[in-house]
Amino acid sequence: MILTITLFLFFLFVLFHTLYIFIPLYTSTKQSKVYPTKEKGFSILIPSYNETLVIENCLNGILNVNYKELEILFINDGSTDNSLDTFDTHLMLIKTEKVKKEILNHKQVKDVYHSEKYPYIWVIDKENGGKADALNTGINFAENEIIITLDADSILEPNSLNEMNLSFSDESIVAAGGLVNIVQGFKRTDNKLIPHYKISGLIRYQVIQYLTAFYLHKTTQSKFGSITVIAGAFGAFRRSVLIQANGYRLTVGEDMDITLRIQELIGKGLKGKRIVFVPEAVCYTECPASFKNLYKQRIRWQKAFVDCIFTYTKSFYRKMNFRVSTYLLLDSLLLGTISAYPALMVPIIVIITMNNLILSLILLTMSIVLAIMQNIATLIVSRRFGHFYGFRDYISILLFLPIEVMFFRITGLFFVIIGTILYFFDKDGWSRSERIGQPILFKPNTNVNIDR
Amino acid sequence: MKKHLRSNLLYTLSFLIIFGPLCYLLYDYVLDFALPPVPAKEALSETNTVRISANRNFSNIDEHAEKVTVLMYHQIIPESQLKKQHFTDTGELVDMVVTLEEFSDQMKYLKQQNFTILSLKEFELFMTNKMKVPPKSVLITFDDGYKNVFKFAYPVLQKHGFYAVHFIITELITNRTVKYDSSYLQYASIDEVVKAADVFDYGNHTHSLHHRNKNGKSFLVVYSRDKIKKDLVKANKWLGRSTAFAPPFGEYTTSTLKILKDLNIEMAFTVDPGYAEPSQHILEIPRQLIYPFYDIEDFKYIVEQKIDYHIQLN
Repeated sequence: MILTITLFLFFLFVLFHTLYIFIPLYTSTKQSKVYPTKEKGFSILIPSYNETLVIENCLNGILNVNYKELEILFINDGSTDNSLDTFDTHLMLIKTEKVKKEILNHKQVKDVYHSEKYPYIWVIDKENGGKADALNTGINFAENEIIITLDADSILEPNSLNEMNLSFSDESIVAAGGLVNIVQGFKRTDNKLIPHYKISGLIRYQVIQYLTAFYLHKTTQSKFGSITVIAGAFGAFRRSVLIQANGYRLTVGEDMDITLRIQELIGKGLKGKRIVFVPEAVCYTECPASFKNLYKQRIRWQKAFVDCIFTYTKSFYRKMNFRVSTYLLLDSLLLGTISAYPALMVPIIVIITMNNLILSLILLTMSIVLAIMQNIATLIVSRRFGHFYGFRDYISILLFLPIEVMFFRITGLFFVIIGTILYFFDKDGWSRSERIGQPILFKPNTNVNIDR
Repeated sequence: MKKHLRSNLLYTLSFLIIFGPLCYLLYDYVLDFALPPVPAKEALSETNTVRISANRNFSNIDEHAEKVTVLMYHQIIPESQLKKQHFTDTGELVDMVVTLEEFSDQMKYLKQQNFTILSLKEFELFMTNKMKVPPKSVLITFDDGYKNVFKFAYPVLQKHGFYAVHFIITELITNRTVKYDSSYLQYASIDEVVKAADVFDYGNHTHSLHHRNKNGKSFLVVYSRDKIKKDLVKANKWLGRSTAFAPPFGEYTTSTLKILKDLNIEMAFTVDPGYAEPSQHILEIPRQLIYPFYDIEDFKYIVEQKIDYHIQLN
């Protein structure tokens, strides 16, 4: 019986991960595109809570975007540091009024500021209410049809919004996720970001993981219409859909929550509408550089996931369509969370009983080989999207892969296990990764070199 | 998509080359150990198996045996491959298992001491008073049809030129020859049964009745005559040529004996200890179970027919 279950799970695992390799490999390719001449209006919402360290970076990224139809709303969610002063220093704020539609509920807004320097940038100063509350405030103030949500430490690639604009020219698309790159995995030369791999093991792991998650997993999910998370770091939504979803819910993982809510809407009223992943729309973000912070981040992610599973239990297959429900329950829940427990138990049991030693060995070898092959597919696919490494870097990546698979992934399993357990004891509120505040990426007012 | 045709093909090819064999390995393992074995598609009778026809003439020997020792074994496993399940709670080997080392020693002893190992036919002729056999004659029997007997005992018997009777539960003979693993209770495949037909005469151990019901009674004892008859006919048909029967667990009733008579089964073996004599009921032939704790001296004692069952019984 246990053997049958193990083999069934393993079969599912291999099936999903083979799809993750071959669907992107055979379908993703960067095509020469015709960008629409008309720019849709975008409202960028950046909730910020004590983000003094990264405000400058974030601003620089935004100022460097090749897009005109833009308004940017920083929502200062009752920061306790000198965020507001920092905004003022960079933006030269003037107190003003802004048209607000009272649609979504949120904590009281103290003041609305307007930048004298960049008239399309606003700062909304409000009482602390959490990230979801900040986003809801932003939605109320936003004037444009498309809403982009960014984390305060997200730095947009100059052409990213044009890519989003292109995607949203398809009327069936109601929400889109961008590709999130880890900024530490790049070095800056001549105002261009070049991928490099001379970084610490912990960051190496995350770089490879992000690349695989976005270029392979999200691409596959997008093809199947089963995207379950639009990363909070870079998402784009039609305003009407966010309103229809009744805005963000205050939870650990508001980004997954809103995505699932939209999937519910798609499953019921908005038939034929889609959520897609846009690999060409790129943003950069910092990843935790210490084990402690990585641990905190992953525990939070896992709690967010468990929270969503409980919140949407009754929606699967009823409100949400078959593909989303199946993906979430089989891949994310069964393989991603529940299997983590036996996956760690199995080696222990095998060693104690010395039974099924050969089978375990076969399964282990297959998992390792599959993981490495998938990482190699990641390198191939990401290269097609312009993510080139130098020869030396490729060598170090290949050497790193076995360590990644055998050491870091096991660590990942622990995160999943601990996170799931901790969820039942303590459901976090506003919490986020510790910011590092790496130096400026795209300098404003310089010739941005985009070779596309 | 054409743009990446070369790299895609190259990747796909290397994926298949690297991952394919692993998949096959798993597939092979699953078929061997994880999935329930599939019964043989072909019955022994449907194969062109040459059966043992040994019928030696012992009439020119001065002395003749009055009784023949019938040895009974179930599983033969090398000591190094014994697993937890082969031992009782007190750490003794279970009665069903004799180690290959002990078994080899016992066979070697029989060979060295010039024992005559009878074929089933010779034994039948002895039991029916149609032929005399040498004084030190032995019939070796195995019950159930375990793979380990074919793997370990068969080569030993073959080496010595011995014959044996193997009572097999015909339903349990598998279609696929799997890798041997002593952790599992594996039955022989049809191919193994065919291959070992130069040493083994196959006996009827029922087709599918080697079970006990909730109350611990053997199916053979509780099932209706019709049901039993059908099953035994099925097994006989499967075996093609079978003159011998052994009831599962050695449990039978007078009704069983009647069925055996109806089916023209010549001989039936019990698990009751004793030596086989022509004067006995031919459907209740006693056998000596060789226990794992017997040492070679015990074995000698048995095959030298030192045990006087007549005194014990009286």
